[in-house]
Amino acid sequence: MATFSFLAGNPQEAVEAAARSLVSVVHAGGRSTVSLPMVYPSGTVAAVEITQVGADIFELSDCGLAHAETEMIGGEHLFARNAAAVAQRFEVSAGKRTIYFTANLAQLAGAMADVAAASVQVAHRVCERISQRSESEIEERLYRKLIDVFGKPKVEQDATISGASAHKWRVSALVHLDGRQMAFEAVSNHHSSVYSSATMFHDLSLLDRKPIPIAVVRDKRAMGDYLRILAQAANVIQDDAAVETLKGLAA
Amino acid sequence: MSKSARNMVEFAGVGNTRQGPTVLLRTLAKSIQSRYAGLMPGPYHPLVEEWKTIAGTVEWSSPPASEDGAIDFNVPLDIGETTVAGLALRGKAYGHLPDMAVTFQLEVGQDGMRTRVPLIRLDWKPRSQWHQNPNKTRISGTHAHPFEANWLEGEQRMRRGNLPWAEKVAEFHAFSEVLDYAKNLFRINDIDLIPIPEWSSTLF
Repeated sequence: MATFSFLAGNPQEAVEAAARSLVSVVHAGGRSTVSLPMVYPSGTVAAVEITQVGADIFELSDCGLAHAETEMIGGEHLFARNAAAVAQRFEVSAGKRTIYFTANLAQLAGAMADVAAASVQVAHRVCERISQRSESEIEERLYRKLIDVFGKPKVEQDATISGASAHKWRVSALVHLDGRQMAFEAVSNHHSSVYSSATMFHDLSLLDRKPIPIAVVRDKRAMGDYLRILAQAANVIQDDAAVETLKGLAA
Repeated sequence: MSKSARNMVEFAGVGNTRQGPTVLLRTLAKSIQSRYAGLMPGPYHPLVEEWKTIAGTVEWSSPPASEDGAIDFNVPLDIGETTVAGLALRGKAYGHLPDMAVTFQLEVGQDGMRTRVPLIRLDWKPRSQWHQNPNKTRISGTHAHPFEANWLEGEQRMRRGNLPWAEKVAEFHAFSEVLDYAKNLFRINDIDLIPIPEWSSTLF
């Protein structure tokens, strides 16, 4: 573990030592690997590998670390598209598995920073995307089931509803019953999905003619404390809920 | 059809009607005597706690990926006589980097999704020199991402991110030493079936 306790008596030296440790270089096998103070979703600290290929030409690569991060969570199919978009913004290049750049000496420091920053951002973006994708998969399954139970004319997919605040909320589906509405929202196991859904359900609950609020999750047990947050404002069901459960909520 | 394959099909059948792996996990959760006795076992505890064996054979991919030299494998795991749906050991190394940058990960798939949940990971001499924990402390070199450190018991869920908490482990000098350690970390009895990657010290 990186500790500087022996420097505790000299705060300035301790700060300088800690700051210096943020960037380190290892030379091996004709390559140099530079660690930079940026962190992937796994806690891995960004590393850029540099190989000199000419008098004033250096090839830089993120070592495939962003791709490896996406691979470990099953998001490698999302790497290419996200890597291309992020790389374009940082003006570096994206391959099938790496973020890279060819730099001259004047560009070397800036290129190290940009390759690392782009790589870390790709990994975080894919992590976020996976969370959003689980919402859309829940929505698809939910929509099919609602049509089976209530009939297509009563089910409005991807609907808009106004809350007590007059804010227009987008919900996964609205089911129009005789004089009442059921508001279904797919919620993934991610803080942004849970908190935004809970806020919406609280706003809807203040309406005079409030809809029946139903949060739909994939697995209640995997939600942990998020389940309690959702349950404060909505009924919570799993996306594999039985037909009788849906009919019961409408009763 | 082998016995393992038959069991896999049977559990796949369960998954067609309800959440296959989830149902299985709940069943296993009730049956195990775990070191978490007294606590409610989370959905992943049985997969971590139970001793496992490799289902089938392990072969590193070949040739290495042309862009970064990566080689890997992904092999399903048995608990008892059952090949558990979605439960797998993943391995990754680099063909041009002998005796370093090897990762093993115990993971489980999610019903109906391509994504997976990492449960435990071991990084032997990773390419990145540093790992930073959520509490801002840093460790260097070989480290493990244990399940217990990444499971929030009070909230009954995994930490956000990708197994972000890691602990320093001893440096290993040979692949066989890594497997010896990984055997107990992952609880895989026959992990020594994993062959040494075909390394060469040149890229491409």
